[in-house]
Amino acid sequence: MKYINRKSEQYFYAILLILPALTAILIFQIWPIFELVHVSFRNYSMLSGNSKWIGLQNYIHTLHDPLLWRTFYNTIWFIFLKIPAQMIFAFGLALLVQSPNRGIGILRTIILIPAITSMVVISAIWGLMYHPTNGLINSFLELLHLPMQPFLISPKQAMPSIAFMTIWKDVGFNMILYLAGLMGIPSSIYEAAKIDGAGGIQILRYITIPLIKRTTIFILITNLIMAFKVFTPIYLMTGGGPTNSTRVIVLYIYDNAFIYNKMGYASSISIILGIILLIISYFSTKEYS
Amino acid sequence: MNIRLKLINKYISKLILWCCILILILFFTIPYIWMASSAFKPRSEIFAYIHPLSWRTFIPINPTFENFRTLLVEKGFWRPLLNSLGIAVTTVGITLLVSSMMAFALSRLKFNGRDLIFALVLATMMIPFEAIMVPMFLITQKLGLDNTYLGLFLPWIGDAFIIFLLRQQFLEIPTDIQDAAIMDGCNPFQIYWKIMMPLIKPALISAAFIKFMYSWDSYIWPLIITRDPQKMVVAVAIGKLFTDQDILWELIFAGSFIATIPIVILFIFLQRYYVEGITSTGLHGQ
Amino acid sequence: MFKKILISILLISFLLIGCTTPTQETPQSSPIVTENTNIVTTEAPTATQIVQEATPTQEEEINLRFIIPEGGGRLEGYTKVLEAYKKIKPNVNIKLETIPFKDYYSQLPVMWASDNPADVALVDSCDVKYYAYEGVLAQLDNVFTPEDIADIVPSLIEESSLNGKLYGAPFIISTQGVFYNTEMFAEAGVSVPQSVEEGWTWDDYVAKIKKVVEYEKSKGKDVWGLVFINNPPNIDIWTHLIVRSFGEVGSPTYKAVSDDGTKVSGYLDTPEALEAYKFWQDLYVTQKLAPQSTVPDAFGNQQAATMISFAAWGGTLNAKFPDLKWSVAPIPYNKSHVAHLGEFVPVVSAKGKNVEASKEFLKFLASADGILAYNQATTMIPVRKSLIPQINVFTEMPLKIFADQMITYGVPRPMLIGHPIYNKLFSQMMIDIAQGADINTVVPSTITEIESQLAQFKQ
Repeated sequence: MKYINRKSEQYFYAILLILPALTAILIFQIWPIFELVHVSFRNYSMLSGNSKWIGLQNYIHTLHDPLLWRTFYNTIWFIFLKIPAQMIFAFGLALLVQSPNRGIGILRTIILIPAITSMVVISAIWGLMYHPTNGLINSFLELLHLPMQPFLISPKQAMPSIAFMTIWKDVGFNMILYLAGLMGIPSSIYEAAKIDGAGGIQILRYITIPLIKRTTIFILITNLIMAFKVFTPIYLMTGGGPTNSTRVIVLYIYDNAFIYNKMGYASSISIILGIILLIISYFSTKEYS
Repeated sequence: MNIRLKLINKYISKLILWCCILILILFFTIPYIWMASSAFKPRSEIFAYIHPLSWRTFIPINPTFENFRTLLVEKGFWRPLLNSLGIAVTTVGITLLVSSMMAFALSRLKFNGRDLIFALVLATMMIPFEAIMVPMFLITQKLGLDNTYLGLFLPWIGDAFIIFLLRQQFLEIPTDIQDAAIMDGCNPFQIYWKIMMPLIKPALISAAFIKFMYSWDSYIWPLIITRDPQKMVVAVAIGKLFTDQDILWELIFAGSFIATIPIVILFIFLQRYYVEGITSTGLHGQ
Repeated sequence: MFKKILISILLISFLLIGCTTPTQETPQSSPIVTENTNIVTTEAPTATQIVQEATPTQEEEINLRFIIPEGGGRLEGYTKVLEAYKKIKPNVNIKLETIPFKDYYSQLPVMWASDNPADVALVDSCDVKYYAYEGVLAQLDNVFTPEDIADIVPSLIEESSLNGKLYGAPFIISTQGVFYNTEMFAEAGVSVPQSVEEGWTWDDYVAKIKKVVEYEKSKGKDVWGLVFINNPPNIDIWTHLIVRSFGEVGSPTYKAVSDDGTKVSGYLDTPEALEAYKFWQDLYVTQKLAPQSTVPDAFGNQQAATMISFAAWGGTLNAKFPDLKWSVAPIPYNKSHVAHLGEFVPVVSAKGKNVEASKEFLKFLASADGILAYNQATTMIPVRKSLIPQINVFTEMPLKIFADQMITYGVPRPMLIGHPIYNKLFSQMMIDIAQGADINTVVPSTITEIESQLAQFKQ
């Protein structure tokens, strides 16, 4: 890969180009993160402003907090429920909507509409749809002579229900990314394969899937990071219940910060989460290049 | 014989395909149909006919515009709508500009600290917003941007995800185009603006969608940072309908309907450019 | 082409944002985007101002910010109070700001952490001790005279005080009642106590609603026996009505927390409390008399026989469901009568820039004039016993039940510094129990968690 030479000109333009974004990021994202690290070593009450240095105590406490371990378990369960299904679904949809056919274009638009609808709105509506006796989904089940389900009030079904809703919302977003990746595959390869007599499934297995490996990894990492940080749908639909079955990490951070007034502890959990996500991304970039 | 089988095969697979498409369309639209129909129902009807399922679930018996009237006239919902629209469009415009500049520099220019800066940008994605929102708020307040439009979108113009996405796209552009430009005497900024940006149009449009969605969606940040009712955004306006005394479902449905429709229209409009981008760009090779 | 689009989009958006309407008018109903700003008069102080000898003449403009949660008729009520105050103190501008109700509790700490908190805020009366303990509230040392205090229900003063110092100014209050569908009960031939003296036990109540539900079922209609505003209820003001009443007055079950506010074992897990939890779970799971998830407007839509709610709910019913025939019965009891006194009280931020002026305002707000002004827009029971006869709705049925309960056996919710935390964890437990969780697992684990969080308040 050749780069633009004439170093001094490069530096000048480089600074010019990165300065606006970098400034915003440094002030509004990096600086708060520093504050977060700072607070995580303290006992900090947001209300009184009292702040006492306690060293690593918050971090040590995370090891002994069974509820925190539960939230990690719940979050990872959410990820297992959501990501594989969402990506496979998105890939299938991307293959389906590739053609520039007008009707397919409408489908493509429709799939993307949940992705651009406010999560607040979607959570409110799906919350009503999941009602155990008077909900739209149960009405459909009733129509099909299937038993009504408790959904959000059952510890076993609550998380899968929320995961399903987020798949419905986010699949469009993954689909676009897959589409972008599929477009990078030159049509000449497909033509060559067809001439060689390859059938649809073979083309899929040996050409398409390997060639969008990069895209897939990118989508996987993005989904993973976003799923670890899931908060709004859970906060609005179950608030962590029933019996802590949907209490995810960020919700626990939120509770500690705003209800238990333990900003220091909340910050330490955030830092740990951040480190985990950094590790995941680091290993993925190795895979990537 | 063979031809007939092949024809039947073709028809059946077409049928299955269109059935699938129909099911998919229903799957993605039924919640919206329910929401839209409920927006036109009087309060007493909304929850009365969900179960058992009937045509009444989706079609109002006494359609009414009352919910919309209450929302727009009495509660002044048009103001948050305009606010959200303006803020979203501004955010998208500035973010795309500023983030694409950085993405270009990080991918096509060579300078010291480039990888460090990129790592720093990525690191910001690792901490959830809910964790840093309090320090972010206090810092924004210290800068005097409390309760200002600027404070609403300025923190978000450096969008790590968009930078990542666009850098990705820039990396895929073959170098010969760039080399030709250098030989013609273009400076890096001209290369960025006149050559690179047009080449990644579909990605820019995708990025615009994503950023627009985040901005339109955002609830907690506008909640903390703005206090003036004039500056309220749509998500907060809808949030205010959930009170302790009464959850105003009929208004929530109407508000959600209003909040979704302009976006969908804008979206359908921009879709055309997306398709154009696909067919006319002529990106080849990887 | 692309450039042109980008530029035009940017231009349009700047135009949209640039248009800022200076002030909004004040429509009749509660708008989302209304500001309420008192107009400033900068003439010489009027005669009434000079009479206020407590503080020196205030010719300078004072701007106060007053934060309230959206809904509940609060905006309308406080607007009336501001209007009345404007006549007395024209140089004080008070700006009302509303925050969505569901975010109010979490936004308060954020606000108080900043440099610029609101001068006056509303805080749930049971949370005043917590915020006072954390030092964000100013002490209200000259808001009430001894005569005022004698007129107010004593437990309310205690609830808004910490270590003998007052931090919240009680002025209006709410209690709970059982709203019931008079037609359904009449058709089923079931009688309902008509006064607080009559009363009914929880078992009696359940038997009666069961009868009504079964009667309706025989007519082919499915109704709920009991609903709340949120199903299952998510704050202790509702759930503790049952649990506390399973103990005698003053018993650990009744108190529901130790006197020092740090222990709940021996209070939330007494045999009586466990009995109450079973009763609660029975209601939801076995008898299915109450819905385990939100059912909006069930009572209004005649899909429920009774609804336990607060006094102002009557107004909502009349407005939204004019055809409904309803009345109110007292809250049932077991070993003791329990009706909770609870409402938002105004407080003053210690870090505010105008503490003295804010306290002056609170003095007016909590006075008879303030209460009556508020009641012009939103009807609420005054905490001053002497004022009750002046507000008609509370001297007649059905709302008389609320006022009577307040005077006879109304109590504040369990008083402890860590009430917000206690409330959240206890309420989550009650929701879990209603949704079928195993009582023997969930009660001990909740108690452990509550105590570990309350440990920080050990004095």
